[in-house]
Amino acid sequence: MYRMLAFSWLALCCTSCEPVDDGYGSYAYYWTTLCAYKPDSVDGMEIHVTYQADNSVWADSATWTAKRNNRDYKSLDHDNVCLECGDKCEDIFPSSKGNKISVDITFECDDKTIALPTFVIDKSIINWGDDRIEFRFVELDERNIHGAYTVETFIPPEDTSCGKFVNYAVLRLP
Amino acid sequence: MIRVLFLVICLASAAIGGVYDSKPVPQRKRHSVTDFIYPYFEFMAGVEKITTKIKTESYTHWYHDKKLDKMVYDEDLYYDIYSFNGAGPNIEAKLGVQLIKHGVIFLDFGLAWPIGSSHYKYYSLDKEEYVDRGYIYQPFFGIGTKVYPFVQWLPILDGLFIGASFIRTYANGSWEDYGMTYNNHEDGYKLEAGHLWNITGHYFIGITVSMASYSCYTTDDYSHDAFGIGWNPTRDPADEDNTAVYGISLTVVFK
Repeated sequence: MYRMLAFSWLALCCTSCEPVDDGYGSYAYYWTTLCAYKPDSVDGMEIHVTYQADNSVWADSATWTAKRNNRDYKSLDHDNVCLECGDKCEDIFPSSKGNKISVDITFECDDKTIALPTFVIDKSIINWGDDRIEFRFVELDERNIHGAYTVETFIPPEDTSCGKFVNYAVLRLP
Repeated sequence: MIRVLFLVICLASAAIGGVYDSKPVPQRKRHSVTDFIYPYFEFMAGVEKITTKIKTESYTHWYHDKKLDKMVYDEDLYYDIYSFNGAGPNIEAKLGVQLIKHGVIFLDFGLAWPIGSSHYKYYSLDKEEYVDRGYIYQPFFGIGTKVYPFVQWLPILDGLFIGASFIRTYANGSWEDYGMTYNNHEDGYKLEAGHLWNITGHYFIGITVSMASYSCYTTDDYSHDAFGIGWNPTRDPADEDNTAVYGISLTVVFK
Protein backbone atom coordinates (compact mmCIF):
# COMPACT_ATOMS: atom_id res chain seq x y z
CA MET A 1 0.00 0.00 0.00
CA TYR A 2 2.76 2.40 0.97
CA ARG A 3 4.69 1.41 -2.12
CA MET A 4 1.70 2.21 -4.32
CA LEU A 5 1.32 5.58 -2.66
CA ALA A 6 4.99 6.27 -3.08
CA PHE A 7 4.88 5.28 -6.77
CA SER A 8 1.77 7.40 -7.30
CA TRP A 9 3.39 10.37 -5.61
CA LEU A 10 6.54 9.96 -7.68
CA ALA A 11 4.52 9.60 -10.86
CA LEU A 12 2.54 12.74 -10.08
CA CYS A 13 5.65 14.66 -9.13
CA CYS A 14 7.50 13.63 -12.27
CA THR A 15 4.52 14.60 -14.38
CA SER A 16 4.09 17.95 -12.69
CA CYS A 17 7.84 18.64 -12.54
CA GLU A 18 8.38 17.97 -16.23
CA PRO A 19 9.63 21.16 -17.85
CA VAL A 20 7.05 23.06 -19.78
CA ASP A 21 7.78 23.23 -23.47
CA ASP A 22 8.47 26.88 -24.04
CA GLY A 23 8.74 26.58 -27.78
CA TYR A 24 12.49 27.09 -27.90
CA GLY A 25 13.19 23.41 -28.51
CA SER A 26 15.94 21.49 -26.88
CA TYR A 27 18.83 23.62 -28.15
CA ALA A 28 17.74 26.96 -26.85
CA TYR A 29 19.76 27.38 -23.67
CA TYR A 30 23.40 27.71 -22.85
CA TRP A 31 24.76 27.39 -26.31
CA THR A 32 28.05 29.19 -26.60
CA THR A 33 29.80 30.33 -29.72
CA LEU A 34 33.26 31.78 -29.27
CA CYS A 35 35.20 32.97 -32.30
CA ALA A 36 38.70 34.41 -32.40
CA TYR A 37 39.90 36.44 -35.37
CA LYS A 38 43.53 36.34 -36.33
CA PRO A 39 45.37 39.64 -36.61
CA ASP A 40 47.10 40.08 -39.95
CA SER A 41 50.50 40.42 -38.36
CA VAL A 42 50.59 36.99 -36.73
CA ASP A 43 51.21 33.65 -38.41
CA GLY A 44 48.93 31.47 -36.36
CA MET A 45 46.50 31.44 -33.51
CA GLU A 46 44.91 29.07 -31.04
CA ILE A 47 41.81 29.43 -28.93
CA HIS A 48 41.45 27.19 -25.92
CA VAL A 49 38.22 27.18 -23.96
CA THR A 50 37.66 25.58 -20.58
CA TYR A 51 34.10 24.93 -19.50
CA GLN A 52 33.33 24.29 -15.88
CA ALA A 53 30.05 23.31 -14.28
CA ASP A 54 30.44 22.48 -10.60
CA ASN A 55 32.93 19.62 -10.60
CA SER A 56 32.62 18.86 -14.29
CA VAL A 57 35.38 20.38 -16.36
CA TRP A 58 36.06 19.91 -20.03
CA ALA A 59 37.98 21.81 -22.67
CA ASP A 60 38.03 22.42 -26.36
CA SER A 61 40.47 24.15 -28.64
CA ALA A 62 40.96 25.20 -32.21
CA THR A 63 43.99 26.40 -34.09
CA TRP A 64 44.53 28.52 -37.13
CA THR A 65 47.61 28.15 -39.21
CA ALA A 66 48.47 29.30 -42.67
CA LYS A 67 48.34 25.72 -43.93
CA ARG A 68 45.31 24.34 -42.21
CA ASN A 69 42.46 25.39 -40.07
CA ASN A 70 41.45 22.26 -38.25
CA ARG A 71 38.46 23.46 -36.29
CA ASP A 72 36.45 25.97 -38.19
CA TYR A 73 32.94 24.91 -37.36
CA LYS A 74 31.07 27.91 -38.57
CA SER A 75 33.37 29.05 -41.36
CA LEU A 76 32.49 32.65 -40.67
CA ASP A 77 35.64 33.88 -42.23
CA HIS A 78 38.92 32.45 -43.41
CA ASP A 79 40.77 34.35 -40.66
CA ASN A 80 38.92 33.06 -37.65
CA VAL A 81 38.36 29.94 -35.63
CA CYS A 82 35.20 29.22 -33.71
CA LEU A 83 34.29 26.89 -30.91
CA GLU A 84 30.75 25.94 -30.16
CA CYS A 85 29.42 24.21 -27.10
CA GLY A 86 26.00 22.87 -27.84
CA ASP A 87 24.49 19.76 -26.31
CA LYS A 88 27.00 19.43 -23.52
CA CYS A 89 26.54 22.99 -22.30
CA GLU A 90 22.82 22.53 -22.70
CA ASP A 91 22.87 19.43 -20.53
CA ILE A 92 25.20 20.52 -17.77
CA PHE A 93 25.04 24.29 -17.33
CA PRO A 94 21.34 24.56 -16.40
CA SER A 95 21.71 22.15 -13.48
CA SER A 96 24.89 23.72 -12.15
CA LYS A 97 25.42 26.71 -9.89
CA GLY A 98 29.15 27.04 -10.35
CA ASN A 99 29.39 27.71 -14.07
CA LYS A 100 32.53 29.15 -15.56
CA ILE A 101 33.94 29.56 -19.05
CA SER A 102 37.57 30.57 -19.53
CA VAL A 103 39.06 31.57 -22.86
CA ASP A 104 42.79 31.47 -23.58
CA ILE A 105 44.11 32.72 -26.87
CA THR A 106 47.68 32.46 -28.14
CA PHE A 107 49.34 34.05 -31.17
CA GLU A 108 52.23 32.61 -33.11
CA CYS A 109 54.82 34.65 -34.93
CA ASP A 110 58.38 33.82 -35.98
CA ASP A 111 58.40 30.57 -34.02
CA LYS A 112 57.26 32.39 -30.90
CA THR A 113 54.03 31.79 -29.06
CA ILE A 114 52.57 34.49 -26.89
CA ALA A 115 49.56 34.18 -24.65
CA LEU A 116 46.84 36.74 -24.18
CA PRO A 117 45.33 37.22 -20.72
CA THR A 118 42.69 34.68 -19.84
CA PHE A 119 39.21 35.97 -20.35
CA VAL A 120 36.59 34.59 -17.99
CA ILE A 121 32.99 34.95 -19.01
CA ASP A 122 31.00 36.54 -16.25
CA LYS A 123 29.22 33.92 -14.15
CA SER A 124 26.06 35.94 -14.19
CA ILE A 125 25.85 35.59 -17.94
CA ILE A 126 26.01 31.82 -17.74
CA ASN A 127 23.98 31.23 -14.60
CA TRP A 128 21.06 33.35 -15.56
CA GLY A 129 20.59 31.48 -18.75
CA ASP A 130 21.05 33.66 -21.78
CA ASP A 131 19.73 31.55 -24.61
CA ARG A 132 22.94 32.04 -26.57
CA ILE A 133 26.30 33.17 -25.29
CA GLU A 134 28.32 34.61 -28.13
CA PHE A 135 31.66 36.34 -27.95
CA ARG A 136 34.08 37.49 -30.61
CA PHE A 137 37.76 38.16 -30.08
CA VAL A 138 39.04 40.59 -32.64
CA GLU A 139 41.12 43.70 -33.28
CA LEU A 140 38.62 46.50 -32.80
CA ASP A 141 38.21 48.90 -35.68
CA GLU A 142 34.63 50.09 -35.76
CA ARG A 143 34.84 51.00 -39.42
CA ASN A 144 35.53 47.38 -40.28
CA ILE A 145 33.11 45.57 -38.00
CA HIS A 146 29.43 45.36 -38.67
CA GLY A 147 26.49 44.04 -36.71
CA ALA A 148 25.43 44.66 -33.14
CA TYR A 149 27.91 44.09 -30.33
CA THR A 150 29.24 45.61 -27.14
CA VAL A 151 32.86 45.94 -26.09
CA GLU A 152 33.52 43.87 -22.96
CA THR A 153 37.23 44.51 -22.52
CA PHE A 154 40.60 44.49 -24.24
CA ILE A 155 43.05 41.64 -23.76
CA PRO A 156 46.44 42.77 -25.13
CA PRO A 157 49.30 40.35 -24.39
CA GLU A 158 51.90 41.18 -21.77
CA ASP A 159 54.59 39.74 -24.04
CA THR A 160 54.80 42.21 -26.91
CA SER A 161 57.31 40.32 -28.98
CA CYS A 162 54.66 39.67 -31.64
CA GLY A 163 53.15 43.13 -31.31
CA LYS A 164 51.17 45.10 -28.78
CA PHE A 165 47.66 44.31 -30.03
CA VAL A 166 46.24 46.95 -27.71
CA ASN A 167 43.02 46.89 -29.69
CA TYR A 168 42.44 43.16 -29.39
CA ALA A 169 38.97 43.22 -27.90
CA VAL A 170 36.37 40.93 -26.48
CA LEU A 171 33.04 41.70 -28.08
CA ARG A 172 29.79 40.33 -26.79
CA LEU A 173 26.97 39.76 -29.22
CA PRO A 174 23.39 40.34 -28.07
CA MET B 1 -48.61 120.83 -53.26
CA ILE B 2 -49.63 119.61 -56.68
CA ARG B 3 -46.64 121.46 -58.16
CA VAL B 4 -44.31 119.69 -55.83
CA LEU B 5 -45.90 116.37 -56.76
CA PHE B 6 -45.40 117.13 -60.48
CA LEU B 7 -41.80 118.07 -59.81
CA VAL B 8 -41.16 114.74 -58.08
CA ILE B 9 -42.81 112.81 -60.87
CA CYS B 10 -40.74 114.71 -63.47
CA LEU B 11 -37.49 114.01 -61.65
CA ALA B 12 -38.40 110.37 -61.25
CA SER B 13 -39.27 110.12 -64.93
CA ALA B 14 -36.02 111.75 -65.90
CA ALA B 15 -34.09 109.42 -63.68
CA ILE B 16 -35.81 106.29 -64.96
CA GLY B 17 -35.52 107.56 -68.49
CA GLY B 18 -31.79 108.11 -67.97
CA VAL B 19 -31.25 104.57 -66.81
CA TYR B 20 -33.04 103.00 -69.70
CA ASP B 21 -31.49 105.39 -72.19
CA SER B 22 -27.94 104.38 -71.16
CA LYS B 23 -25.88 102.00 -73.29
CA PRO B 24 -26.90 98.40 -73.16
CA VAL B 25 -25.05 96.35 -70.57
CA PRO B 26 -22.49 94.13 -72.29
CA GLN B 27 -22.92 90.43 -71.87
CA ARG B 28 -20.83 88.91 -69.08
CA LYS B 29 -17.71 87.32 -70.41
CA ARG B 30 -17.49 83.57 -69.98
CA HIS B 31 -14.15 82.87 -68.31
CA SER B 32 -11.94 79.98 -69.36
CA VAL B 33 -9.14 78.19 -67.52
CA THR B 34 -6.53 80.17 -69.43
CA ASP B 35 -7.78 83.35 -67.76
CA PHE B 36 -6.43 82.06 -64.44
CA ILE B 37 -3.59 79.70 -65.34
CA TYR B 38 -0.62 80.77 -67.39
CA PRO B 39 2.47 78.85 -68.48
CA TYR B 40 5.56 79.75 -66.54
CA PHE B 41 9.19 79.24 -67.61
CA GLU B 42 12.20 80.38 -65.70
CA PHE B 43 15.90 80.07 -66.35
CA MET B 44 18.56 80.96 -63.83
CA ALA B 45 22.33 81.13 -64.04
CA GLY B 46 24.51 82.15 -61.15
CA VAL B 47 27.03 81.18 -58.56
CA GLU B 48 26.73 79.34 -55.28
CA LYS B 49 28.75 78.60 -52.19
CA ILE B 50 28.38 75.11 -50.79
CA THR B 51 29.46 73.50 -47.53
CA THR B 52 28.99 69.81 -46.82
CA LYS B 53 29.79 68.01 -43.58
CA ILE B 54 28.98 64.35 -42.96
CA LYS B 55 30.18 62.14 -40.14
CA THR B 56 28.96 59.10 -38.23
CA GLU B 57 28.94 58.93 -34.46
CA SER B 58 30.94 56.10 -32.98
CA TYR B 59 29.00 53.30 -31.36
CA THR B 60 31.80 51.99 -29.16
CA HIS B 61 33.65 55.30 -28.62
CA TRP B 62 36.93 53.38 -28.55
CA TYR B 63 39.72 54.76 -30.71
CA HIS B 64 43.04 53.12 -31.49
CA ASP B 65 45.70 55.81 -31.25
CA LYS B 66 48.29 54.22 -33.50
CA LYS B 67 50.97 56.74 -32.70
CA LEU B 68 50.82 56.07 -28.97
CA ASP B 69 49.59 52.53 -29.66
CA LYS B 70 46.92 52.60 -27.01
CA MET B 71 43.15 52.61 -26.86
CA VAL B 72 41.48 55.91 -26.10
CA TYR B 73 37.87 56.29 -24.99
CA ASP B 74 36.26 59.41 -26.40
CA GLU B 75 32.59 60.30 -25.96
CA ASP B 76 32.81 62.59 -29.00
CA LEU B 77 34.35 60.08 -31.33
CA TYR B 78 33.19 60.12 -34.95
CA TYR B 79 34.26 58.20 -38.01
CA ASP B 80 33.97 58.43 -41.80
CA ILE B 81 34.23 62.19 -41.73
CA TYR B 82 33.75 63.95 -45.04
CA SER B 83 33.54 67.64 -45.77
CA PHE B 84 33.52 69.80 -48.84
CA ASN B 85 33.90 73.54 -49.16
CA GLY B 86 33.57 75.16 -52.50
CA ALA B 87 31.92 77.62 -54.80
CA GLY B 88 31.04 77.66 -58.44
CA PRO B 89 28.49 78.18 -61.17
CA ASN B 90 25.05 76.71 -61.36
CA ILE B 91 22.18 76.70 -63.83
CA GLU B 92 18.57 75.99 -63.12
CA ALA B 93 15.30 75.76 -65.02
CA LYS B 94 11.77 75.87 -63.72
CA LEU B 95 8.73 74.75 -65.67
CA GLY B 96 5.31 75.36 -64.23
CA VAL B 97 2.05 77.18 -64.19
CA GLN B 98 1.16 80.56 -62.79
CA LEU B 99 -2.11 80.82 -60.92
CA ILE B 100 -4.09 84.10 -61.02
CA LYS B 101 -0.84 86.01 -61.46
CA HIS B 102 0.18 85.63 -57.83
CA GLY B 103 1.43 82.10 -57.40
CA VAL B 104 3.52 79.61 -59.35
CA ILE B 105 3.85 75.86 -59.03
CA PHE B 106 6.85 74.45 -60.82
CA LEU B 107 9.20 71.57 -61.42
CA ASP B 108 12.80 72.44 -60.78
CA PHE B 109 15.87 71.06 -62.57
CA GLY B 110 19.41 72.19 -62.18
CA LEU B 111 23.09 71.46 -62.14
CA ALA B 112 25.88 72.90 -60.04
CA TRP B 113 29.57 72.22 -60.34
CA PRO B 114 31.31 73.92 -57.44
CA ILE B 115 35.08 73.94 -57.26
CA GLY B 116 36.67 73.34 -53.90
CA SER B 117 38.36 70.86 -51.64
CA SER B 118 37.04 67.58 -50.27
CA HIS B 119 38.42 66.44 -46.91
CA TYR B 120 38.33 62.83 -45.74
CA LYS B 121 39.19 61.57 -42.28
CA TYR B 122 38.67 58.07 -40.92
CA TYR B 123 38.32 58.99 -37.25
CA SER B 124 37.87 62.35 -35.64
CA LEU B 125 41.01 61.81 -33.51
CA ASP B 126 43.15 60.96 -36.54
CA LYS B 127 45.93 63.33 -37.40
CA GLU B 128 45.87 62.24 -41.02
CA GLU B 129 43.46 63.94 -43.35
CA TYR B 130 43.14 63.37 -47.07
CA VAL B 131 42.35 66.29 -49.31
CA ASP B 132 41.18 66.27 -52.92
CA ARG B 133 40.84 69.51 -54.83
CA GLY B 134 38.67 69.95 -57.87
CA TYR B 135 35.10 70.37 -58.92
CA ILE B 136 32.12 68.15 -58.24
CA TYR B 137 28.93 67.79 -60.25
CA GLN B 138 25.69 68.13 -58.38
CA PRO B 139 22.54 67.64 -60.44
CA PHE B 140 19.30 68.24 -58.61
CA PHE B 141 15.57 68.28 -59.18
CA GLY B 142 12.51 69.13 -57.17
CA ILE B 143 9.10 70.65 -56.94
CA GLY B 144 8.26 74.03 -55.54
CA THR B 145 6.11 77.08 -55.37
CA LYS B 146 6.69 80.76 -55.76
CA VAL B 147 4.53 83.70 -54.77
CA TYR B 148 4.36 87.21 -56.22
CA PRO B 149 2.45 88.85 -53.39
CA PHE B 150 2.38 92.43 -54.67
CA VAL B 151 1.29 91.93 -58.28
CA GLN B 152 -1.43 94.48 -59.21
CA TRP B 153 -1.32 95.85 -55.70
CA LEU B 154 1.88 97.80 -55.10
CA PRO B 155 3.38 98.69 -58.49
CA ILE B 156 6.78 99.45 -57.02
CA LEU B 157 6.99 95.94 -55.55
CA ASP B 158 5.18 94.29 -58.43
CA GLY B 159 8.08 91.98 -59.30
CA LEU B 160 9.02 90.90 -55.79
CA PHE B 161 8.75 87.17 -55.12
CA ILE B 162 9.51 84.50 -52.56
CA GLY B 163 9.65 80.77 -53.14
CA ALA B 164 10.32 77.39 -51.61
CA SER B 165 11.16 73.99 -53.10
CA PHE B 166 11.68 70.41 -52.03
CA ILE B 167 14.89 69.27 -53.64
CA ARG B 168 16.75 66.02 -54.15
CA THR B 169 20.40 66.49 -55.05
CA TYR B 170 22.85 63.82 -56.06
CA ALA B 171 26.24 63.66 -54.42
CA ASN B 172 29.37 62.78 -56.28
CA GLY B 173 30.07 59.87 -53.93
CA SER B 174 33.81 60.46 -53.90
CA TRP B 175 33.90 59.25 -50.29
CA GLU B 176 33.59 55.71 -51.59
CA ASP B 177 37.21 55.98 -52.71
CA TYR B 178 38.07 56.16 -49.02
CA GLY B 179 35.86 53.31 -47.91
CA MET B 180 33.11 55.58 -46.65
CA THR B 181 29.52 54.90 -47.54
CA TYR B 182 26.76 57.41 -47.32
CA ASN B 183 23.63 57.88 -49.36
CA ASN B 184 24.38 58.98 -52.87
CA HIS B 185 21.66 61.58 -52.65
CA GLU B 186 20.55 64.26 -50.25
CA ASP B 187 17.06 65.62 -49.68
CA GLY B 188 16.14 69.05 -48.41
CA TYR B 189 14.58 72.38 -49.11
CA LYS B 190 15.50 75.55 -50.89
CA LEU B 191 14.25 79.02 -50.10
CA GLU B 192 14.58 81.89 -52.52
CA ALA B 193 13.61 85.53 -52.92
CA GLY B 194 14.17 88.09 -55.61
CA HIS B 195 12.80 90.72 -57.89
CA LEU B 196 11.82 90.73 -61.55
CA TRP B 197 11.48 93.61 -63.96
CA ASN B 198 9.36 93.50 -67.06
CA ILE B 199 11.43 93.76 -70.22
CA THR B 200 8.87 93.28 -72.93
CA GLY B 201 5.56 91.51 -73.18
CA HIS B 202 5.75 88.34 -71.17
CA TYR B 203 9.48 88.48 -70.58
CA PHE B 204 11.00 89.48 -67.26
CA ILE B 205 14.53 89.64 -65.97
CA GLY B 206 15.66 89.83 -62.40
CA ILE B 207 17.83 88.59 -59.64
CA THR B 208 17.34 85.73 -57.17
CA VAL B 209 19.07 84.97 -53.90
CA SER B 210 18.65 81.51 -52.43
CA MET B 211 19.66 79.27 -49.59
CA ALA B 212 19.25 75.51 -49.38
CA SER B 213 19.75 72.87 -46.74
CA TYR B 214 20.08 69.16 -47.51
CA SER B 215 20.28 66.06 -45.35
CA CYS B 216 22.11 62.85 -46.11
CA TYR B 217 19.92 60.94 -43.72
CA THR B 218 19.07 57.28 -43.77
CA THR B 219 16.26 55.46 -42.08
CA ASP B 220 17.85 52.06 -42.42
CA ASP B 221 18.47 50.19 -39.19
CA TYR B 222 21.69 48.23 -39.24
CA SER B 223 21.63 47.12 -35.62
CA HIS B 224 20.29 43.68 -36.55
CA ASP B 225 22.93 42.91 -39.13
CA ALA B 226 24.85 39.71 -38.56
CA PHE B 227 28.22 40.20 -36.98
CA GLY B 228 31.07 40.24 -39.41
CA ILE B 229 34.50 41.60 -40.13
CA GLY B 230 34.95 43.81 -43.12
CA TRP B 231 33.07 46.72 -44.51
CA ASN B 232 30.76 48.34 -41.97
CA PRO B 233 27.65 49.50 -43.82
CA THR B 234 26.39 51.64 -40.94
CA ARG B 235 25.82 55.10 -42.28
CA ASP B 236 23.85 57.34 -40.05
CA PRO B 237 25.10 60.92 -40.25
CA ALA B 238 25.28 62.50 -36.86
CA ASP B 239 24.03 65.89 -38.06
CA GLU B 240 20.56 66.42 -39.39
CA ASP B 241 21.66 69.09 -41.85
CA ASN B 242 24.67 68.11 -43.87
CA THR B 243 24.82 70.54 -46.76
CA ALA B 244 24.21 74.29 -46.89
CA VAL B 245 24.11 76.20 -50.17
CA TYR B 246 23.92 79.95 -50.67
CA GLY B 247 23.48 81.32 -54.17
CA ILE B 248 22.73 84.33 -56.29
CA SER B 249 21.47 84.09 -59.85
CA LEU B 250 20.42 86.10 -62.83
CA THR B 251 16.85 85.13 -63.59
CA VAL B 252 14.90 85.23 -66.83
CA VAL B 253 11.17 84.52 -66.71
CA PHE B 254 8.47 84.03 -69.28
CA LYS B 255 5.00 84.20 -67.81
